[in-house]
Amino acid sequence: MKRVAITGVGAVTPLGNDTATTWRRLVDGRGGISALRTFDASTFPVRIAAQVNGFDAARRLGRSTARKLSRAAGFAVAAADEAVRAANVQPTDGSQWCKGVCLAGTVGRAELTELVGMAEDVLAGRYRRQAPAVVVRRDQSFVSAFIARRHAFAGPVVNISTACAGAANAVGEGLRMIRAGECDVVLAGGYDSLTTWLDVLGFSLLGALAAGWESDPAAASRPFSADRNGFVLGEGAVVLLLEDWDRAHARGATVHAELAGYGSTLNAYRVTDSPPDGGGAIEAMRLAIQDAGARPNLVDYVVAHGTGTPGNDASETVAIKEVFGEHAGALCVSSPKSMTGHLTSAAAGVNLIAALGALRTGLIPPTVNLRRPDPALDLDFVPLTARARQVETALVNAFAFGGTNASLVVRSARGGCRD
Amino acid sequence: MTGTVTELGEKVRAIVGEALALEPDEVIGDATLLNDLGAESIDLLDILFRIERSFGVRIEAAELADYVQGGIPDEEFGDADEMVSERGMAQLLLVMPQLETGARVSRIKADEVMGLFTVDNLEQLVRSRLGAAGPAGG
Repeated sequence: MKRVAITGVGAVTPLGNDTATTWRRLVDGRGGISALRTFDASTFPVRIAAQVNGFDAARRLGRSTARKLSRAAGFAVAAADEAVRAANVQPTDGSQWCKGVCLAGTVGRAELTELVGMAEDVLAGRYRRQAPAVVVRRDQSFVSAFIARRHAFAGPVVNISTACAGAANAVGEGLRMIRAGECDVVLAGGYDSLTTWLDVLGFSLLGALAAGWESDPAAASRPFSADRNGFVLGEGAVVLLLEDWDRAHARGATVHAELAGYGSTLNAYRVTDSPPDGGGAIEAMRLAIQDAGARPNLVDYVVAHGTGTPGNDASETVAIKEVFGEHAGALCVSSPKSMTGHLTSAAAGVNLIAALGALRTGLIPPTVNLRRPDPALDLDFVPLTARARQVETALVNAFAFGGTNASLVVRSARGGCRD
Repeated sequence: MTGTVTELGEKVRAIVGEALALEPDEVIGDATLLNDLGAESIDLLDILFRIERSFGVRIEAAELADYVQGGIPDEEFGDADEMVSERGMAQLLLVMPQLETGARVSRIKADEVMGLFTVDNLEQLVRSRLGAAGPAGG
């Protein structure tokens, strides 16, 4: 079976507008949650989020490009640019038909002010005229197509929409595209910006968001804490450059890690509740480990989905214990969402940055704000500060409303060089 | 009168520059929209949308080809070799006068005509519509 290398990573996150800054702040335990600035949230029950700062799409991507992109799409294009640049993949390098794109996102939404105008016109029986750039900004498939064209990737383009499991599904499907021999190179990841009035309202109504932390936003995201009460919405994009292992080595590329395994399942349980018995997440993790040709006791680090909702963290802990048995106690398990908030479709991308950084540096990002552990959740969640530990194999989790579970296994390139 | 003419041209060039994110000095009158300035069909739609907002003149994208062909049906506009016919060329010179000194009649392929449509040609189109409709709100 073909092996898959990760040769480039790009990111725009609440911690920084590139991968290096994001990783540094993850290890330092410096979060990015603050008062909501993307709209006037003064009447909303939740008024905090983890937002991207100082990102100027026009300056970074060019005015012409930026006009046609939603906020989330701008993050995605910038992250893909960084990944391609980092991997040093040139447009003329290899066949354009064997370069694919597989990205997870959310269908675009009209701005509130735009909707008001549309509603007035439609109700009055008028045909609504809009700039075409505004129309394409709402289209999910346009984003990946735009990225593909920008880098002359003319192979298959796949758009994933599995909510908070999105980026893990996208990276996993990208792995399969390379293994199948369909692609040599795939840009894979996720992008989202659900820090909008519509989504803050929606997730608040679902009772999913951490409430009551307006005076201390940095403390709001409390995965695995006894006093956790929901997640904090984040935004951003993470895109990986996946590459056929042999091709990457043949061209002398820097291989950050091996993308070794992928598993995905559905709970087939309730729509927004996590199954108390761990549900399909158990099978997703097992499949990913098996797919990597590994065994549970070879895993050093689990980058948890760890949202900070009462249900997820309990369910995920049960699932991890079920998969790893006695080895569960020897694992490091941490949740980057304690710092980045929940990047929804891009969330697994942040977890992959944590995993890749840990493989490279031997430092495991902490779960911050974990001062009052939940006695029922008794794994080593790496509380408060980073941990030094050599990591050879890491498992990344991403679960979603609707019940989708996706897990990925990444392995150090050092191990990969042995055979 | 000259002032108004220049003003209209400047407005059209500003609209093209804004839609294509070009600097003002890149948008010169004899630049072709598609070939020189790299406009795609979505950009043409954008330009026409902005013209509508700015001049109150509504031009549908589909009308552009009709305007250029002056209502001559495709089979008469192009000859058997898909080159612009003599009749077609006479029409083209009315709306794209720059072709007079450019390529000879027989050298223009019918399906490449739109690629030769310039910023000045667009300005002329807007002016003709404004003239037909009378002064419109801006």
